[in-house]
Amino acid sequence: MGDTVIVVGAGLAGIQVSHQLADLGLRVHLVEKEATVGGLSAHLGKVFPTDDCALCLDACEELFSGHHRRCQYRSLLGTQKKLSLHTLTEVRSIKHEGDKFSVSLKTTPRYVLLDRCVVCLECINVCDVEVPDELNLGRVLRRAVYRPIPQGVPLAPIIDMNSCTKCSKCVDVCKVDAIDLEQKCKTRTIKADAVVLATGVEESSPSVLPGYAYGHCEDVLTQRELGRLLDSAGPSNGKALTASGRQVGSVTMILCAGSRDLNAVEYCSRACCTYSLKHAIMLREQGVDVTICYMDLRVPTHSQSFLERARESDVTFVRGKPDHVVVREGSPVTIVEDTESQKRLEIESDLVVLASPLVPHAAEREVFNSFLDKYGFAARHNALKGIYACGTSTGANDIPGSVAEANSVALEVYMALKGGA
Amino acid sequence: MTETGEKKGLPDVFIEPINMSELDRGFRKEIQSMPNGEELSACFACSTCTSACPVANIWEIKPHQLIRMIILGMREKVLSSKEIWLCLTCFECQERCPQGVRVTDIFFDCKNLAAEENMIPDSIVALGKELLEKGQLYIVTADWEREDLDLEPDVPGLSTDAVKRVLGGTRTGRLVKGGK
Repeated sequence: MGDTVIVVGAGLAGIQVSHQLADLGLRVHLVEKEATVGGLSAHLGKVFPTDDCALCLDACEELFSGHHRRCQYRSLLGTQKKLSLHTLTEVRSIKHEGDKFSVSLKTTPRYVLLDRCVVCLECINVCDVEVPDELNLGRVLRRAVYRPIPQGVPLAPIIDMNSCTKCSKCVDVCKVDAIDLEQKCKTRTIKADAVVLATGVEESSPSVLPGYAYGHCEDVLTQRELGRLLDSAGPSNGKALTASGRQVGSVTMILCAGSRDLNAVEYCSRACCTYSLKHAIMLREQGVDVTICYMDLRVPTHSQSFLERARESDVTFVRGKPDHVVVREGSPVTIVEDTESQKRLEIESDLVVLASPLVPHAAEREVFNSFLDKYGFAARHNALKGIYACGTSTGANDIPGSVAEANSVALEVYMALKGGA
Repeated sequence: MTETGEKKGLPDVFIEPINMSELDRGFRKEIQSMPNGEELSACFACSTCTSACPVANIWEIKPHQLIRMIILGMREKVLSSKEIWLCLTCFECQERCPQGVRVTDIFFDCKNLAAEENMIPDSIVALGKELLEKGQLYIVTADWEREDLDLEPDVPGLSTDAVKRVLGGTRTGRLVKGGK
């Protein structure tokens, strides 16, 4: 048996499984379609269960030193010999040939050469083009040459050709000739002995379950968007502001805004209860009143402390699922029946935050279709030997669950390729 | 499910204890066997139906409570409740139920059962009587409504005889005449 493994998706699970396999001596290609690694977690600022910065949760030299604090920023992702990271790369096809897989990859240009760039960021300073930064809710501007996430690996910037004017100022200012505005797409085929899908999930648009005024009122956000607001590297340096720039005084959260609903997403998204509680605690620290409307709180044991802390910090819990949010004088009003007091409440607040369901990325791509179930999730062991999946690509999950599954799959892949049995 | 904290004292609304001996354990199956009642027990009491309902705010028993009462078997209380008759049948609750419980249709089933057992409020019987005798619920008053619109006093071709005749042979007819 050979020893080449392709891992699709460099989110937390993909990074974890890649590091484990590379440390075990296998040859790993980690394929990521975005410009930087980290996936959904890199959008979230602090992450549970440790309230660390998400970028710190990954992969560095201390892998076996007993530490869990591992930083993507200072990670070995770009330097480990047995691990090649391919960013801006998508899987075009997976062909089964004998006991190997022939995987065709397509890399779209970054226009900044990773092997030359020294991350001086002069190009960003010199760029004249300013466009809304989509990652930060469009509330701040970014340049045409930019870093999507400040500490995202690889650290080199990327050029957004949709807004670039090709004025060449960045090319002139770059002292190491790292910018190539004429870079072309590249395709390559890699023969692999195993493929691990770690394609992850994204937060779906709240339009899967209409009625909550998302899109009608700018102060109705999703939890990921609130995560951006509360991130110290976010658009308002961690302060909760309304779309008009006013300090937020009260926030209403709606859980299961689409999950566990036969009209939208049938399954439980599993992570949203806990990250809603995490955000509620962070808002309470800023003195913001928080009301959480829930039907059940599904907090796993390892995150129970978040529920306790939310109670201690006087978060208001309303047991009832709101049916709709109406906009009155520009502010969202949540209409909910509190099943404990049996009263219909109309909760006025500055922000309404929806826990939108987590939906699988893999379902968007036809190439993975044959490995997916009706929801778009993959089985940990595919019927086709040699295809594995881990992290949220096997079902919505929180970070501890994803990382645990990644570790377990890494061992399984190693046993299958190198095991003595 | 995780409870949210210790409750201080009694809840805001104190609920009468349910007398177990008065429960009809067959009631749930009875409703489930009726048209559109199959999903009844899928209800997880999230109360979306109640917050969707445009009129439940003035009801004593809310839609999600009625569903719960059916599942528990509180047959007498459900069938004699005024709420099943106050339902606007706008189907908002049914559209929004995350579990696909056909709430409005289940209330129709309850109304049918209540009608079978002569538990209809007088106001509803009065409506039935109106239908039976006049063949329509809202009579167009010829004196000004049509005149203002430059229409002849009588609605051309209006015939209510068939409706009256058919209704007379139905349960509506029997109920209005006071029989079973």
